[in-house]
Amino acid sequence: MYNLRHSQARNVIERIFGVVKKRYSIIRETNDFPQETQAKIVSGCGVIHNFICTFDPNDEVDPWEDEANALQDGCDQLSGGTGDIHGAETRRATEKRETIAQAMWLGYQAELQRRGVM
Amino acid sequence: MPNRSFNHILNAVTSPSFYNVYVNLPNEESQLDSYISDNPKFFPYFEGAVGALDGTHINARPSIQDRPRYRNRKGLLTQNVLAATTFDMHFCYILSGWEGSASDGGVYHDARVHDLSIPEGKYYLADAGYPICDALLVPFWGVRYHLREWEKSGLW
Repeated sequence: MYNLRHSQARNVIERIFGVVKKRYSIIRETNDFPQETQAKIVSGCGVIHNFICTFDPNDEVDPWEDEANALQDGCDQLSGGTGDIHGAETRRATEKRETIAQAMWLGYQAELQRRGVM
Repeated sequence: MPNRSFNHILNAVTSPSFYNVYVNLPNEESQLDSYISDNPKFFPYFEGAVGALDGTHINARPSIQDRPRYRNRKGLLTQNVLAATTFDMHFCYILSGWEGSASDGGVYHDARVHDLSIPEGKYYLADAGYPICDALLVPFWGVRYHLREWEKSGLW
């Protein structure tokens, strides 16, 4: 249940990638600009996205309307190359996740009971 | 020349005086978004979440000598872009320009070392490709659910 809700809540990042990739063809296609410019274009599209959201919140794009542009993200299951996260922090973070998952599960059980399902 | 105006505008929107106005990181005072607080499935469990973070691959055309580094795991030439969004769908962080062969965890590490600051006690939701640490809340590995079972209850 924790993973499901986590992925539901995380969905905003996939949506925003979908919106930007749909709205800006320059993001989907390649170009011959220097590498530095190609990187800048991505940041540029991001900031323009925010600008539009701020000034014209009704100008919405449905990222899933056209599956042809479906993202090529895939699930990135690479082992992280981060060097600075060690023992204590990993333990602490693991505990925090466990606590959240537990609380969710108990909340769910309580709700079931309240509804007389159990 | 269209190319010159393109560069001109690109430089303008990515210059700090424009960019930093529209793309900024949540800080200690940022309020919990209603996307979380108004949804009993998320609240209070994710009350420390300031947004979600993920990497994505954008097609790239690097110079010939750079190509091997830009080839991602699927064999495509890409740049690996790390981005974070708030729950109201505004980008709050973008790190572009990493080569496609870079790992998501590696790009995240680079971001943290440089300019991705995350308030203490807060975190972003990220997928299982990211390390478990204070500033990220990641899913459990290899746990699958029977969706239908949960759907029936309407509670998940």
